[in-house]
Amino acid sequence: MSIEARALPIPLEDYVRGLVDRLAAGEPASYRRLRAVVGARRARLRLDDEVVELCFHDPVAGSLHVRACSDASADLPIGTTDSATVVELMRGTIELRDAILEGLVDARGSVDDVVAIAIAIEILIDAAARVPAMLELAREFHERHGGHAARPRAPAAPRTELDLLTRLDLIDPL
Amino acid sequence: MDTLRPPGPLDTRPEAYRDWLHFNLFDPASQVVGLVNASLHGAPNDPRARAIGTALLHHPAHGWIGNMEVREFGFARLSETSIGLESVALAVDPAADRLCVSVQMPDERVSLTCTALRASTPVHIEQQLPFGSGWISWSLLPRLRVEGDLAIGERRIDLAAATGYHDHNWGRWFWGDDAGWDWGTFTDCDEATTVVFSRAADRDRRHTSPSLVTVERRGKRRSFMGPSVRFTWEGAFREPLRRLPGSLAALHADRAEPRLPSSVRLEAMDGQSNLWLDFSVRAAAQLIAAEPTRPGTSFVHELIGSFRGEYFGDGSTRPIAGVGVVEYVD
Repeated sequence: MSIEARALPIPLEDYVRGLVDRLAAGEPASYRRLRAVVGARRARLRLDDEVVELCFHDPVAGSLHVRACSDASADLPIGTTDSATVVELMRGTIELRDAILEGLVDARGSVDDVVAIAIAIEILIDAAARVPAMLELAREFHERHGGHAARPRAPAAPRTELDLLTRLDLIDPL
Repeated sequence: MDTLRPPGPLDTRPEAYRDWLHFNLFDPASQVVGLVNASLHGAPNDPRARAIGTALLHHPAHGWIGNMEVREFGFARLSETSIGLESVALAVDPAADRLCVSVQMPDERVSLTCTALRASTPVHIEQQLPFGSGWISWSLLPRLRVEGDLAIGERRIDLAAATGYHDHNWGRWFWGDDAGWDWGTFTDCDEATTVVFSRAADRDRRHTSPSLVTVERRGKRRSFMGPSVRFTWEGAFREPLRRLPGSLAALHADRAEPRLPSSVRLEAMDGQSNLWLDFSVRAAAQLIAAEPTRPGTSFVHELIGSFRGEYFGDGSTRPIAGVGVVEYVD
């Protein structure tokens, strides 16, 4: 199927809300864990040119609030990636570690915030193996964005954590 | 007739239902080694149950090609002897003694359409062998003659000289149980010799079941069991793995660099026949099996490569060499 013939991408706001709603319906215990991990945090998520802000209004009983934003300049923790990288991660053609080291996946905030973002994503991926509706949504994302899978990737030079820290100006170059 | 074995109305553990059809392709001309697998996991009427189709082929120039399709159980087109998904389908035709295999993955730029004809006698292990929290049974056809075509990108590969292997596994267990297996099949196209090795184990390999080795050469079969078999892992394979499905690979980043061997030594002798072979790993992949009904994960490592050795049987010693695949599951 050509890129032109694929259905339009799902808005990021709808995709995130859909994933979490399906988690709540399919595996309530995992949804409670997600709420507990996220707590009262607000965070932003950027995928390509879309940015959404998310939080639980009530970390104990509230549902996830997701709204599209115009930019990511607010001083909030933020995770950033692009749909091509998401598709490659789904296809298993890039390891998550390599995507992070190459700067294709980025998470910024305090240590606690970045850890919370990572755990939240882990909860979603883990539950998707047992919640068919989440798997279906992931498949829909892949079908709508899968044209990006044809993006040629030049073989990346091996990178290490020290390269990443140097690139982020967190340590002095060796 | 070997058929799929879905749980009946009196089955006490339908949620632990596992069933799959498996095919390996060995093409000496192009050096392609591949696996195609269609599998069922969970009680058929459980919305969490899965049907999974996997096709992975390794070409020396292209590396690993293929992917995994994960669907709800109800999506699969099933018959007594076939499992069909959108991109992978396997069908056993018992009347014609053949296996029909189809892989259509345009996003991965691979397609395979072939028929594998029986070139050996089947082995049926119908007893329920203890495995994890349940049991496993299997049947196998060690050697098949292949007809068909393989396309990788723009390259078309005629499979006229290819051979195949087929097995059918079924049972009751959960992925993530303290269970695994070591299995391998090695095919010498020149001598028409096929060797199959198998043993069940716990995940750490502290306990293993008696090993079974079958050697089939020009229609004659010899089996070796238990103490007459020695199987050892050697070295360390350090090349990057292809890991599927990608989402579970991301979740299990800690398993991205497992300890895998770079070679395997297999010896079998019973006083009348003996076999040794050394297998060198060329490439490896990791298929991550997530339990659909509760938390739990197992890791199926596919190691493909080449082997050489010798087989003494029927009064003569013959060198053997070819390609093969070894599976390490934990």
